Amino acid sequence: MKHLLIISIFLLGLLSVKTVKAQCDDRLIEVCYPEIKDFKFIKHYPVKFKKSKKDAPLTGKNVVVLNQGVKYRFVVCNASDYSSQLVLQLHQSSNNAMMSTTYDASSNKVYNDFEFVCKSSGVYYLIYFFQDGKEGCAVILMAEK
Amino acid sequence: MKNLFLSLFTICCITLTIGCGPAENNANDLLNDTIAQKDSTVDDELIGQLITIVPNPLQLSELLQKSGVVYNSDLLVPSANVDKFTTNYKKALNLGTYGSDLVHMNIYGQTVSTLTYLKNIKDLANDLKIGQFFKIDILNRLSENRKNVDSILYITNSSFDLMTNYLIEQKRSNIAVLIAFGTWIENLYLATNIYAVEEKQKIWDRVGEQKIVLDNIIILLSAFKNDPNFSALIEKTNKLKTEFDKVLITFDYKEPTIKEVDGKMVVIDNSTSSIVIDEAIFNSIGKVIAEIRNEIVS
Repeated sequence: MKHLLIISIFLLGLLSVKTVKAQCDDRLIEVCYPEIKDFKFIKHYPVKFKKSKKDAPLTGKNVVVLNQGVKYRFVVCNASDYSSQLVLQLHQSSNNAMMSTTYDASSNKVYNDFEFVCKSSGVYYLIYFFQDGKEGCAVILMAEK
Repeated sequence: MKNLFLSLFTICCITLTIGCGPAENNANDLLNDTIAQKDSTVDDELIGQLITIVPNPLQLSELLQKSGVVYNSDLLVPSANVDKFTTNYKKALNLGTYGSDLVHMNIYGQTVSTLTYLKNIKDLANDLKIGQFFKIDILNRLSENRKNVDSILYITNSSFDLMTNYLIEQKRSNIAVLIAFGTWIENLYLATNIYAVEEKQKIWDRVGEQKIVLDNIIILLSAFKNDPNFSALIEKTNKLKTEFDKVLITFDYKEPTIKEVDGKMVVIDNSTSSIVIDEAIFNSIGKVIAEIRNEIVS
């Protein structure tokens, strides 16, 4: 019974941290597209970084406008030819407050998506880096409902 | 014999030179357009970060459709106008306007009508040396069936994204900015020419929110202010800013909360914003947008 529980938890863990099977090229977007589920695709952001410092990783930033009353879905797909995982954060521009992230500090786990219900229209920042400054390639998809 | 060989060799060289010259000059005529020149002084990384602020036309067109705005093909850029766009400046802007119209037509299910617009987009993109991003055969095939709208929109939107990223990498950000501007202004033109709509406040608010986008568009255009085409466009955009300055946007920050919904982590934004825009301001914004847009597409 204990073994069954351990196996179940392990399988559950696998389910929540998916890796799409695609290398670092335009096909990564196509393979990632189904992950937006029933949301409408808006934009994609390709990311490719070389190895950088663990405590000061190379960081990318994109500016987006989000509209109140809209639900957004952000999905990250990491290329299979790299072992790294992209951490994505959403910040409000007015005070740089972090509204959401794919990284769960309590479990040190990087997830692949989050959804955000916007109640205040404005400028937001997408900030992203590879965990521990590893070299990596990924794509971020933004979708809305 | 030796003299004959030399004569033939000379004639061949002259013939090849005459044959190659005019075609090469035609290609260079396009490349010599100042818009086509790479500018190493521009901060392409900053442009890459900011250009994503320009909204996808799908977002506003979908709002128009859901609000009950009736489709009006008369508002779109006439497909025949493509022959008027003879400079890189006009080609880039109108690759954007036609792109916006294409998305708008697809949102309204007018998929079959998109065929000439697809051709125009492909032709303009080819002229700008970025035609490789538009898989026109696939889009033509998908356009035959209304059920393929989601796929069409995905391919169209991701093609424009790929094209933008490529232009920035190639230090041709000026073209990317013009395309983005054309997309934005056309989308707003469609949104500000609405009649007899019940849920118009939502549309007014969304147009009013473009005030935020406009501030960043002016930054993008200003990166190329030394180009006379861009400086003229900046002047017109500043006139538009004067109208948008009448829109009041306020923001009240509150900490977000996290909820689990269907096993997924969902962040709830508790901050609020309010937009104050009335019909008079909406119409004055629409008037300036029409002036800018009509000059671009003529």
